Amino acid sequence: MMQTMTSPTLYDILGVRPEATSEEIKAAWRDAAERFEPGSGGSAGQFRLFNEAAEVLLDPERRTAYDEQLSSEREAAVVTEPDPATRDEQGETDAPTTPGRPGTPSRTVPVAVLAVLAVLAAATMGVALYLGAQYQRASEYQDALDQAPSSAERAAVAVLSYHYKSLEADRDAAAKFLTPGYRDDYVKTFELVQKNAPKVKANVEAEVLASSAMPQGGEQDPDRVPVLLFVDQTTTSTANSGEPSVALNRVRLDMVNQDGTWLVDGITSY
Amino acid sequence: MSLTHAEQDRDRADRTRSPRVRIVIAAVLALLLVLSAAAIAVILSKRGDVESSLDARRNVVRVAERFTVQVNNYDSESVDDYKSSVSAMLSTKFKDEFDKAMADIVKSVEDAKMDSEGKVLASGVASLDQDSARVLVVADADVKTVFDTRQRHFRWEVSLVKVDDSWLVDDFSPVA
Repeated sequence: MMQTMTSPTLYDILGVRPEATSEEIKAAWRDAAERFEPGSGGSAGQFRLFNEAAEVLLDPERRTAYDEQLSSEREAAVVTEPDPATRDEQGETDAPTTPGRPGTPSRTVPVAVLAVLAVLAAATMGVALYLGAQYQRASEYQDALDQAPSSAERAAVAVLSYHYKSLEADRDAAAKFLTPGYRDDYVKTFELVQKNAPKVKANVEAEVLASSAMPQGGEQDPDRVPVLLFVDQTTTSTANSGEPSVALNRVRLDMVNQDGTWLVDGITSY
Repeated sequence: MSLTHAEQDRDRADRTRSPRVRIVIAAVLALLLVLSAAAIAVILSKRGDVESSLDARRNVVRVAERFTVQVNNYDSESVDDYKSSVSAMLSTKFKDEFDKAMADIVKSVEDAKMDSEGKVLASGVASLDQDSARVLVVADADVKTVFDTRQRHFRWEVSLVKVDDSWLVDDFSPVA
């Protein structure tokens, strides 16, 4: 590049433009020959240089070959020497007018930098998504711990209360608080109540005194929360001469969130 | 051998477009990187709050259960150890009440040669805030005396307060 740009071309030697016609070249050659002819103030070396330049540029085939050589030399120089100052100079003077010249190279981002950025962005997004999912689950679990106990309290009253005169209605009312899977177990157990309660005219009323969400040891499932309840069951029946007796129950209800509704999926009495 | 004008123009356009595309891609990637990093910072902060609350739940349950086990495991020959181990878990306010009650308890334990083995069956958090909590505890105890052996069934509400980052028992009562 530096060679190409600083060494005079044959056009420079004759003082003509690269697009100069043969006539213009001839005129320039004559003018130079007169001024630099040996004996007229010029040297033999200079005179020979003008002759050689004219010889090449006035022969169409040799001129074409020379132009191509000149062009390829400049192209090679641009690729090997990305000097900003030189690029600016070329961009302003040559690029718009010289066919075959490479376009002005712009500032760019190396592919390696793009690759590193892409990997970093992907990794960071992955971590953000992972942490976001974890946070979402933990947050839902915390909400579940707040919601499940109140649902369990309502369910406990319905499931643990009955009157011998309205057993079927009581059973159906309780079944609404149960998961389909647990409902069958409950109905089978309730068959015993249906068999015995009318004999002693039993009336059982449940009252929840306290409730609490039980911590889970392993995975924190936002759709499954065991709830511990203290439930008093007051029973009146002919078996105790109509005098109420109170059972101080300690009950665990396994609450399951099904389609946004907390249902009982199991009952454990301690 | 040489390129046509159209090819030269296209070549020149490609050469200038490619760097611009790379710069745009780099800018988009850098933006994604910054946004993701910001999201991570926000999520970590929020997750810290949630995890702190869940940790507090585990801690209050652990303290309430340990208290229940300590209170229900004693024998007539190690009353002093019993007093000191339980007292260490109490708030200052409740320690005074407990010490006063212990006078009668110690007399009963020694007179009846009482020996108790208790265990916790279940527990859960009834309420929790920054510095107080209520924990429900279900426990059973086999209590032997010179007269007989009885199994006792407890359902307790244990109240706790947070003092200097430690959960201490501030009260407990049977739920009846």
